[in-house]
Amino acid sequence: MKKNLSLIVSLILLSALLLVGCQKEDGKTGETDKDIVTLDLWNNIAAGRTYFPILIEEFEKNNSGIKIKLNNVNVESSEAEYQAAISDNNLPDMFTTDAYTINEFVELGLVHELNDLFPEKVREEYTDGVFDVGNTMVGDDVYLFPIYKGGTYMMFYNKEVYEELGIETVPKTWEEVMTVGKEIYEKSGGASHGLLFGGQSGWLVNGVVQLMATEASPEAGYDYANGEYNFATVGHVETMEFFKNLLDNNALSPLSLENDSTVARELFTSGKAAFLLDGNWTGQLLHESEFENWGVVPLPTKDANGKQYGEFRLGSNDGMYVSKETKNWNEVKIFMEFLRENIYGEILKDGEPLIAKDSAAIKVELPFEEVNDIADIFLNMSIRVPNPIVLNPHTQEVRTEFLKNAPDESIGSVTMGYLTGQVKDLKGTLQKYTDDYNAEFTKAIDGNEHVTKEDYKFPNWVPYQSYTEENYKELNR
Amino acid sequence: MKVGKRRKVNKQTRNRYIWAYIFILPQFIVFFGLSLYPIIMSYVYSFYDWTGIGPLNKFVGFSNYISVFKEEKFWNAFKNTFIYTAGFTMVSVSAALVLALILNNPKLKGIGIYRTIYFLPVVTTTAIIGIIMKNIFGNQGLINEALKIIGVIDQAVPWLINPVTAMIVLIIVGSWKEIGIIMIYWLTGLQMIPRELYEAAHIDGAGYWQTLRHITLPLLAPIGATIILLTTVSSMHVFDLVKTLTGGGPYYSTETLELYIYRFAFASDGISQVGYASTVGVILGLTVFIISLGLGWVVMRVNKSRADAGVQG
Repeated sequence: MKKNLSLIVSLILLSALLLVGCQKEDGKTGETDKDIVTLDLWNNIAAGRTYFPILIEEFEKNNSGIKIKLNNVNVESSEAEYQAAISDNNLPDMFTTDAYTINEFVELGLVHELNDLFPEKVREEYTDGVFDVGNTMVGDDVYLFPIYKGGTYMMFYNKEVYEELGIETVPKTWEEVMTVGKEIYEKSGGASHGLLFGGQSGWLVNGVVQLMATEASPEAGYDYANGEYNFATVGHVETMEFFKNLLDNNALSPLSLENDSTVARELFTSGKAAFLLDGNWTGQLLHESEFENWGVVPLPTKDANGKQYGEFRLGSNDGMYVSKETKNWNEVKIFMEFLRENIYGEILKDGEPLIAKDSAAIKVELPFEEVNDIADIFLNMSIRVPNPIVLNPHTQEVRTEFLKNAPDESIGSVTMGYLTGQVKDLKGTLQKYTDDYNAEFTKAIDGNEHVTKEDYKFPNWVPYQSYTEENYKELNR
Repeated sequence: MKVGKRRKVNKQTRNRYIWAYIFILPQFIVFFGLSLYPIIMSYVYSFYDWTGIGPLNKFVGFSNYISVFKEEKFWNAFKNTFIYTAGFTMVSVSAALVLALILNNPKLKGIGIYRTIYFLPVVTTTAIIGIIMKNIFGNQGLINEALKIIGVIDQAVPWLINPVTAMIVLIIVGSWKEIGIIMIYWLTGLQMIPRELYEAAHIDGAGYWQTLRHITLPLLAPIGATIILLTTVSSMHVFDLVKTLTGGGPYYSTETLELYIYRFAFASDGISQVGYASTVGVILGLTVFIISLGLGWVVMRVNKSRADAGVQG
């Protein structure tokens, strides 16, 4: 027994020695590269998979002492990956994510301020509103490296379906969408439908319905004048009923009910529908998939002269963060400075027009002509709306608190429930959603001693117009 | 009686104990680190208002539990889980038994091939099956096109858009996926039945149905109860199939508890609520535990009654 024990112990020691030996060997290899600093970059921007490798290659060519290790994170599972990285105190040096908001990251002390990179003079080169509090800044500090300036939704159309069926009208109004949709279904013998969208992507349905609802009801979603949420507006009800009518009349593809935005895009390119509702990034994705025969127009309106608007707002996913725990801040800064000068041109070349910087100053050859159309639609649709955080930073605490407890529902899910016949009483469901939402909102306000209901009221807000610095001053708060 | 005197352990026995503990240690570490610790922590998280990042500093007592029990969609997910579990258990256990009875026939040629074919879905990734089946049962999928060609339907059946048909499709696909492994359980039970019993029954003039009714099924009862227990418990954890096949829709009508937990723990369109999700996880765990105890008791009773019958016989 003693002999056996000695033998096993000797074997373990020998293995350990060998392993240590291997480690030393690795260490020696590392020593030859000791001057090279490796920075980790986690990316979850779809188009970033194309432009980051190009930028990194160019950067490394001129900065031999710095290597960038790119990790393209899966959008669907990134939330869990970031949770694990934060728990292990192991965030990468730089990262793009929509897993958490800028305020959450700053509040938890997880991200590095970027003030040196964006002095006042540099900020002037960017689109107005990019450096608003809540977008890239918290208080007086910049925390998010702005890449995009937000986004919006629009309607893409398939020219191949048009040519094949001999249709000429590109619809602008709801009525035209219905007429052309029916015509497409009949002429194609049911092989193609008019409209299509990825109904399984809740965020998409939510965004589209919200934008379309603002035509009839500018107070749809959030009523800036009264400081209350409102999801039971005429605009919401009419928009949902419009989609239901399209579905019942074969002008909306039933494939919309069972597919997400990615599959819907594939179905659109294969000619299953003439129109696709999707986000501004779809142009770049269509171009990347080598489908070129398409055009883009704004979302249809109920009236020919109808107006819609969306909030000009940057989310976490519109930029890049730097981990506060980075051990290589100087090298990160060098890379960030390089990105600041080069990333926007590369994005434009890739076919995405909504860069955070003023695109007029960047001269590059655009990959397809519709890039300008997408930029125009965004400019006409997105406006700066009142933001309570500008006047009272504590309102962010209220927002975080009530969003956690807000009803487990959304405009997108109600729309899909209505289209599939699950929601029978549309107005009643929307009213209950609104009431429950406002109840949690009021509860969160009451629970915060630094915030009152008045912080959320902007009586001088004029619908469809950008809210300016002067407007904030007029309030005298 | 010598109270307090320690039993003398010789050197050889002590060494055996030491080695036994050394061999158990890795398993103990894995069990504690990967099973027990997460379970304990999910109980801890359930008493906190926590988004999944940052310190655990907002203790809320039973507030999460109260919120869960008040939440309509939790009860909807709870109900859906039970509907799926009941449907899945009935379909998969009975269909697997029929298959096992057929494939247990030694005269059948190519048994190995059939068993492999039925076992293939078991080793296929569930998420892949979900995506493929979504295409097959889709509005313009294989099933609808085939039914149109043979003239059964004029308009496509909205399999995944109607809440009833969506749940039925989910149960059928889930059962088809797991039928192979349940069939193996049944085959094990069938092969444990002594052949002499069948020979004796045959001599006494019993036919196939009589031997099935009076020999096979009664002797399969103990293993059958165990199979039902295992199938029920595993089906309560259905997640990847629902996520890829129906996404919990239409309008939450196929959302199960696991999907509900996922939606809150890793919210893509809101703020994550890991504390709340952990509470639902704890409730699901306790529910599965209670059901396991109940079914375990049934298994014990069945085994006991079979043993008593054997003694009396």
